[in-house]
Amino acid sequence: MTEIEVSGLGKRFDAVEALTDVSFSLSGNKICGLLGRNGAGKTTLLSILAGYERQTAGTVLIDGEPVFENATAMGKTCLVRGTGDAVSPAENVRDLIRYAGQLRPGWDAEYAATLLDLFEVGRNKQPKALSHGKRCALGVTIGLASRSPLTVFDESYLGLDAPSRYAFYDALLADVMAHPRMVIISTHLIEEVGSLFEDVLILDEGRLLLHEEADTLRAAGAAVTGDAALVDSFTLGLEVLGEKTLGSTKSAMVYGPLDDKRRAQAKQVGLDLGPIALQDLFVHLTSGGSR
Amino acid sequence: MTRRWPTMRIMLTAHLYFAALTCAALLGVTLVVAVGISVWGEVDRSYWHYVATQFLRWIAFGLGVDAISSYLRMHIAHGRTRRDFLRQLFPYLVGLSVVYAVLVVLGYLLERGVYALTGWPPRREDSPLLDSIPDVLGYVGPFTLMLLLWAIAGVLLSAAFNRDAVLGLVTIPIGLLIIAPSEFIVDVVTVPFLRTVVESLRVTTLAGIGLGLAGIAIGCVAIWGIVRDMPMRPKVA
Repeated sequence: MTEIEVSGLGKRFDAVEALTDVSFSLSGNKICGLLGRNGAGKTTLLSILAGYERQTAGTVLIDGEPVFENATAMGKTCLVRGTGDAVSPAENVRDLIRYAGQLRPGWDAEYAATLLDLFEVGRNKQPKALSHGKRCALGVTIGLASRSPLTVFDESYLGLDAPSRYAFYDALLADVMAHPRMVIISTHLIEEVGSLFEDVLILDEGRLLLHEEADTLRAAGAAVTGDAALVDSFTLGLEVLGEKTLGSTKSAMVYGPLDDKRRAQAKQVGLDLGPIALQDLFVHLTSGGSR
Repeated sequence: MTRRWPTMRIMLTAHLYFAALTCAALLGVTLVVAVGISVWGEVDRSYWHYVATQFLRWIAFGLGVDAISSYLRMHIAHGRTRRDFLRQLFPYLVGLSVVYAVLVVLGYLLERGVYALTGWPPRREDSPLLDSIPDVLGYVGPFTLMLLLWAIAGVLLSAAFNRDAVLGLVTIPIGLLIIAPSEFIVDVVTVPFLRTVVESLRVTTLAGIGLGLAGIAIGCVAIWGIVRDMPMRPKVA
């Protein structure tokens, strides 16, 4: 079971403060979502977690050991950024997969072959000859087949087409069930992948805005659906994050807990109450205007 | 299955195959050139000598660059440390240089055989005479040293430019200093900027070898200083 302890983490690039006083801890075998707007510091945080970068302040421990240039801690992590860094443009896919087997102690060559077939990645091609989507598929294949105790995907599957993305989600879930480990996913496709998250971290302008269990977050508000007039009446005075209308039916995302009296009232008038969408909550928390 | 020094094995297997192919192709080209020249004139020199002393060191330099730009990234991305990479890099560079030097000498020997078969005159004094086993061994050493210096310079400049463009520019003179002894070692002077300096500082082969070893030491220290905490920035898509 992997444990991550981040304390007072800071990273400065010349005049730019990319991360400021970020502290959190994660433990257990679960899938965590790392959310943040462009430039929030997600890639920098993950790069430090994997030992790609050295922090300028604070500490990062994996299973109690500092990460940077520590073979034990770095060996537990596989970070796939974008299309992946474990890819040399001059080598073909077959060789890159073979190299991964030589460098990764937990590498599952059979599973890698299955994934390459699933994503239809040509083994004799060099990465530069692959489409962006296929390069992403190669990246996620390397990440999943690494079987690393901490596997991190940093927007690494965004180039996949929708069927391939769904295939990736299925493969990820099945593999994490079969080989429990911690997975961190940084993404902008929150609506699509949000249901996988058990923990959610939200970064905003280099600071940790929120770290919460996903279920707790989903209970931080509600999706109220029903007749438009009834929804308007019910949400009057509540903080509404977003609304969608189809004909006479309306769905409104309200932020803030609903007490039993409110819930009973909704039920009485025929309104459906569902969990709040993570994406709406994320937009609410990170958009400057409504903060 | 992981084995000891996997990155060194990976780089050696990838590049030794490349080395053999390149040398075979280049030797073929030089022999075709010699045949072409023999049709209109006299073959009076070793054309392989040009490849051996000028072309191959640029390949060694390029492979040094590639070691950082491709393999260091891959190594770290597979959860390994920079220190571990450097530990495997230097044996790799030595191995690569030895193999290239052996291929160079084999090239001379094959060329010599072809010259003997065709009745072309022996080469002139500007190229090595490999008449005996000590001659052959005597050339493997200097060529190893020359190629190693160029490969180390490639690694150094690649690491410096990967880290920071200004650092890269500042490192260029160090790179030139590192490769400078190779001009004495194999007795050719071809780098335009260095020609004047090298001619005025011409030293014995032994002193050249000493300077070469010093260049290796300086290069290794500089590479360690740059790579040991080099950040691995995301690739631009």
